[in-house]
This record gives sequence, C-alpha cells and structure tokens, in this order.
Amino acid sequence: MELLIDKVSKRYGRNSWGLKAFSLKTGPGVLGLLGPNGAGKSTLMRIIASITKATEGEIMWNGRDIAIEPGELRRSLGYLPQDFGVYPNLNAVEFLSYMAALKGIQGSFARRRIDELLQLVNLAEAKKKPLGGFSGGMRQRVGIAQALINDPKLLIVDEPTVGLDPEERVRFRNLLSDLSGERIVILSTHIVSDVEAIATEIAIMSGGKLLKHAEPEALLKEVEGKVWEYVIPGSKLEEARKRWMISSTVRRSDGVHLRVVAADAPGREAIAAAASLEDAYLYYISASREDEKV
Amino acid sequence: MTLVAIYQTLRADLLERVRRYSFLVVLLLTVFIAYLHVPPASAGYVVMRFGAYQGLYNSAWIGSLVALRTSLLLGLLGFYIIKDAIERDRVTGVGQIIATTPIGKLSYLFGKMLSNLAVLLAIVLAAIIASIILYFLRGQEGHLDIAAIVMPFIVVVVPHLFFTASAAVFFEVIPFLRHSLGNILYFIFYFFQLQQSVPSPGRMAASNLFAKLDLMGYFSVMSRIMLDVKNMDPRYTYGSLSYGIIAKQSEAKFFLWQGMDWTVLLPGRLTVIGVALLVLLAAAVFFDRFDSFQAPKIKKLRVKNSVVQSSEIAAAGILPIKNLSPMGAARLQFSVLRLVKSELFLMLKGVRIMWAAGAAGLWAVSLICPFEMLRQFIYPLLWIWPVVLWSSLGCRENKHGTEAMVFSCPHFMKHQFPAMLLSGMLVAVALGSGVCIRFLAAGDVPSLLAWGAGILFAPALALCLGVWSGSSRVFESIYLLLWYIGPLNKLPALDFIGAGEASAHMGISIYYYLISVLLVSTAYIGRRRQLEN
Ligand SMILES: Nc1ncnc2c1ncn2[C@@H]1O[C@H](COP(=O)(O)OP(=O)(O)O)[C@@H](O)[C@H]1O
Ligand SMILES: [Mg+2]
Repeated sequence: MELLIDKVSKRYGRNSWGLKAFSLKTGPGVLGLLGPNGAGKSTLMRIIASITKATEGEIMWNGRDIAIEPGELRRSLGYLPQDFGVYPNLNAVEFLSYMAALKGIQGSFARRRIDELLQLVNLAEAKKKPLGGFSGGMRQRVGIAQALINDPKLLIVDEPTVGLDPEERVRFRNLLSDLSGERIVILSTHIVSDVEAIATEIAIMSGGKLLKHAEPEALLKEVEGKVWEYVIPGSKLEEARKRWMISSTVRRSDGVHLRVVAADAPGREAIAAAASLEDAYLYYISASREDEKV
Repeated sequence: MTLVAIYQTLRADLLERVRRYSFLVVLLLTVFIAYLHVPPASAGYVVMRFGAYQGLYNSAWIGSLVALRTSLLLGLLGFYIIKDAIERDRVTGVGQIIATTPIGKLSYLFGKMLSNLAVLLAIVLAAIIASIILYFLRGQEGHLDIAAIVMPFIVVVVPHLFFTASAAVFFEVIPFLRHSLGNILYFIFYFFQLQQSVPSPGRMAASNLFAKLDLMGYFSVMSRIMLDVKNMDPRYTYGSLSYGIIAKQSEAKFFLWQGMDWTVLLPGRLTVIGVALLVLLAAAVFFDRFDSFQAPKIKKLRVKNSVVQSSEIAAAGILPIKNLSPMGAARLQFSVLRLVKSELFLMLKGVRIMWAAGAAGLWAVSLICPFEMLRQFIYPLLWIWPVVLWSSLGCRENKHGTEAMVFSCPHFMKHQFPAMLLSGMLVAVALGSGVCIRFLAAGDVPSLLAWGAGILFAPALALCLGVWSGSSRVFESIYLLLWYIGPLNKLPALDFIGAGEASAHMGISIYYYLISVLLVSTAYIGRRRQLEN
C-alpha cells in the first residue's frame, strides 16, 4: 500500500496557485498535514480524493495514476471533507445507507456496519432523528461515520476536529490511531496538538509548498537546543517579538515568560527548554516566511 | 406606527418582491403569452374564434384579447407568486414587531393586499405595453387607440386582481389554507369558477352565481362579443367559441369588432371589488395578529431540544473503538437497481402527506374521468405535480453541500447518473400509469408515444438544468412556462406530453425524444464538469 504524490500543482487563477510542486511518498500509518489556513491542505486532499484534478503532476495509488484510473482508489477511499452538508430530511441511518449504496457496499453488510458505526460515534440514540436538527458536532460525527463506512484503506480527514469539543477531540484522535495499522490515514489540521500524539509522519506545509516531511522525532531533533525560556518586562514585549521567533507568551507577576526558538540563547538569564512539536512547527513556518522576504 | 412607516414597509415589500425570480418568470410569461395571442395569419393556430369569425386586429380586439388572457393568467399564477406577504413577516420576525404596534388588523391586512395588488399591477402594465407594441406589429385596422387598449385592463383585469390580492391574504391568514392544502383548494376553486363562467350555448343570461359575479370578467366580455357576432350574422349559434391555442382547421372569416362601452360593466366590476373587500374583512376577523407565531416557535424549540440533547451526547462524542466488522473486497457489489431505490427514497423522503394524497387523488381520477377532462386538466396536472421531486435532480449535492462525499464514490458517473435519471422517470411512470392505461385501452398509439416522450423529457430537462445551473429554480421556472403554454394550453409545439389530442397526433413527440437525448448528454457532460469544480 503506497501513496505517491509527484510534483503536484493546482492553479486556481492566472497567477494563484493553491498548491505548488508538492511531492511526498507515504505508506501505512497516520500522516499529519500541518499548516496555517490557506496552506493548501484542503486542495491537496481534494486532489488525492480524486475530486479535483491537479493542474500538473500526478498521484499514484499502488502504482496507478488516479487521474486516469480513479476507480481503484475510490473503492478504498474514505473521505471527510472540511465543509460538507447532509440531507436534512434523512436520518442518520438513511443517510449512511444512501452513502453505502453509492459506494456499492452490499446491503446486509452495510446494515451491520452502519449499526456499529453509529455506536462508535455515539449517535445510536439519535439515529432516527432527521439530520436537519443536528448540531455541528453531531453532523461532524455523521461525516466521520460516512468516511468509515467502507472500511477504507485510505482515509482522508480534512480538519476533522473542528466543531468537536476538547473531549471529543481526544477521543477522535484515539479513534484514528486505533484505526490505523494496515491503512493510510491522512489528517489535516492547523492545530499541532491534533497530530502530536498520533502522527507517524508529519508534513508541514505553507503557501502551497511542502516545507518538511519527516517523522515527529526527526522534527523535534531539528529544534533541539534551540528552545529557550526567557523572562522579560512587559514593556519590552513588542521589541522581543520583532527580534525573536516566539512560540508562546505567558504573563506573570515577574514579567512575561517567553518561549523563544533561536540558535543562540536570547539572553544571559535564558534557560534551555525541551523542544515540543509546536516549536518545531513554528520554526519551519517562520523560516519559510523569512525565505519569502529575502 | 405612522403612515410613513407603513409607506416604507410597503415600498420595501414591493421592491423585494419584484426582484424575485418568480415575479420575473410570470412577467415574461405574460408578455410571451400576449405575443402568442396575436398570431400572424400564417400561424398554424387560432386563439379566439366565434364560430367561423375572428376579429380583425384593431386596438379594441387586441386590447380585449390580451386583457382577458392576463386576467385568467394572473388569477392563477399571480395568486401563487403573491401568496407569501404575511408569511415573510412571520418568518423574519417582523410580524412580532408589527403585533406590538398600534396598527389595526384591518389596516395591516389592507396594506398587504395593496402590496399584493401592486405586484400584479406591475405585470398588467407590462401586458398593456406589450399590447401596444403588438398593435404596431400586427395591427390590421384603424389607428392606435390607447383608450380601447387600456380600458379592458382597467375595467376587467384590475377588479379581478383586487379579488386575487385579497384572496391571497385570506389564504395566508387561515392556518389550514396556508400551505399545500390551500394551494390545491385555490387551484380547484379557480378552475371551477372559470368553468362556471363559460357562457352556455343558447342562453344569453348568466346561468349561475359565478357567471353573474364574473370575477375574471370572462363571462361579460365573451357574451358581449357573442352578441355582436350574432347581430352581424344571425346564423351564428350563441355560445359557440374556440378559446385557447387551437390548431387551425379552416380559414377564419374576419369581422370588425368596434369594442364596447366599458362603462356598462362598471357596476358589476365594482361589485367584484366589493367582494374582494369582504374577503379581506373576513380575513381580518380570523387574523390572529401573529399570535400563531407560536407555531414556528414550537418548531424552533424542537430543534433546540435536539441540540440540548446533542451536547449531552457530545460529552461522550466518540466512544472507544469496539470491533468494527472488517470488510473484504467481496463486499463491494454495485447494483444500479439498489442505487435507483436509494435515489427514489431520497427524492420521496420529506414529501408532505398532502402532496402524496394529491398525487394519489390525481392518479385515481386519471383512471376514471372522462377523456376530455383527462386531456384538459388531469393529464397536465400529473406532470406538474412531481416538479418538487424533479427539481432536485442534478443540483441536490450542490444545494446540501454533499458534493465532495458523493463525487468521490467509486464509479460515480457510471452508476449514480443513470440512477438519478431513472428515479426521475420512475416517478413520472408511476404518476402517469393511469393515463397510460387509458391510452392503451383506447388503442391510441400516437398518444402513448407522446406519453413516453413526457416521461423522458421532464426529468431530462430537470437533470440538465439542475446540473448546469446548480439550483432548482431555473428548471422550476422554465418548466412552469413550458407546461403552462404546452400541456395546459395545448400549444402543439410545446405540448411535450401530448395532452392535446391534436398535438399528440401531429407526431411532435419524436422531437421530444430527440431533445431528451440531447438534454441527457448535455447533463452528462455537465456532471463531469461539476466533478472538476
Ligand atoms: N476553489 C478555489 N478557487 C480559488 N482559490 C482557491 C479555491 N480553493 C482554495 N483556493 C485558494 O488556495 C489556497 C489554499 O486553500 P486551501 O487548500 O483551502 O487551504 P487550507 O485547507 O490549507 O486552509 C488559498 O489561498 C485559497 O484561497
Ligand atoms: Mg482547508
């Protein structure tokens, strides 16, 4: 099982690219796509899901070009789009049955699977209620169930934790990591903690480009020894922001506690701190912005 | 609430309403039908002929002809486009604000009636302008006589519109008339009174209440012209009339109709306005001043309930994974039949009970009613009834935001596209099966062929327009237009179901088969394009 993304670009306007020469190869596991809003995560996912065609480049699923033979990929695909709706007059069972029919899943199996999935996303009690009355979080869970209905080998979930409350987020992450194994899960987010615990690989992207694709440990290694805790008076905060890359600030009585990502210690009182993925993310994003300025 | 405030509300109301799609469609339809009503001599159809006689195109004839048709048209379609003046206040919550102002019930409803009337008058104005232009295009006699053109509109049409505007308010105020049932009842009322106002052969006086009251002015104008024809040619049998769009069988004899003294009708027309005001008064008696605003409130509460419940469930949003049944490749098994079933289910889900009852009623009537009635009303009605179902074809995903999920399914074009079309056709087959049996029993092959063309054409049009426009409105309006002129009024070229015996036997249906194939192919291309965007 292998997904190969080869120099994929997507042009939206004459001079606007949603994605530019993006290349990446991945296998079973959880791939976290990390990037700020507008980075091109959804664009990439839509192309992988065979909904949008790439302007340039190709994507191979188990050695087959998905632009030419989308059937093979779609058979094994589960996709949770970033924005989606549901048919308001249908209830959860009816909606999932419709999706199952579209995906060509055998009737008896579909019924069993829908039952299990509704329990999984804890909608069993509300399964006879029209979706029109569902809250955002409930709808999101219907979307999750829909993506899992065909036991997909390739699961693409686009910002799945938006609309879920903190507890649900944790559960959803666990669900994804339990699910992985003999499948590829691609998860996009702009929140580092969403992928921190579960991703086996992380791809950081910004401005339609891939900045770094590596395992979490490798990413951490890169910023090791470059993270500092530093306390400054509140009045110097503006100045500090201009000088250093700051991944967090906390106001205390003795001043502002900064977390600075820099090669050298920002000051004599600075204390070296353990690097987190958040720091690494910031490091790559800021570095790419610096490059753009030059 | 001051007069200024009332004026402002009225203005805002009117502006909002004339900018709507439905208004534009009815306006265009009115102008187009006016155009159809003054055909050149070379046209293959006649519109209004008394025995063998037809009026020369002078100002009086063109004005009266177009005015009469506008009256009939707005009595039906006009009613439906204005029937939401109060509903809007209810939905937007403006109603609640109004309820707390000192404005009286009657003045509020009167304001709404005036607003309704204004919408319809805008269409009348367009019809008048169209008549004047038509005189220049097709006029055969005399000179442009503005008064002769405008008078029938003022005397015949305007009082009727007073009634239509008031009736719309009345139907909105009475709770059970507010929705489908009201729409159906008005439809029945409309055709009943129209049928009652047709002058009966041999009798010159109005024979029943509706002809006497003559809401639409149909009886007054027709009987008057019949009298004039009779005076000119004593062999003419009073009451003999072809009206509508009717295939020309023989050349007409022309006569010069000088119009009539419209003031003679004034007492009768003022009575109609009086009746309209009575209807409005009755509405005011029943009007609850938005007290039944509780109705939507209850609905909202229900939604809230489920949301409250949802946050309880949300606490345990996603449960720890249990053993999900794994799926072997063997479990994939495509079946277009199952998809058709699903598509049908999706289409029919959310259909109102009244709709289903109406469909069943129409179907039953189509089995037993006389042939003439079948062709005149029931058969066309069976093809307007499923519009709400067809209109979602091809644009449902766009409307509800499910494209990404649906379009990424395997073999989506190969399976879902035909399933969609088939489900639309099945609806038509089911509703039209009674008509089919009748044609079979009569051994009427051309009509059967036309029936088949209708089954294919309506859903194909819906699919094509739905796919390309991404919304259901374009189909709804274009289809309504086609339906009104074709199947209902039997213009052969547009009669895609062969409702008129003449059009069915002319073999028009072959063109509709071809057009349908074209529509389906265009829809297919559009669907592929939809995937891309
Ligand atoms: N359909 C579209 N038409 C034009 N531009 C688009 C379209 N979709 C996305 N973009 C642009 O492409 C860039 C990437 O968007 P997107 O893939 O949605 O990013 P992300 O999902 O990472 O927030 C953005 O600048 C966005 O404005
Ligand atoms: Mg996105």
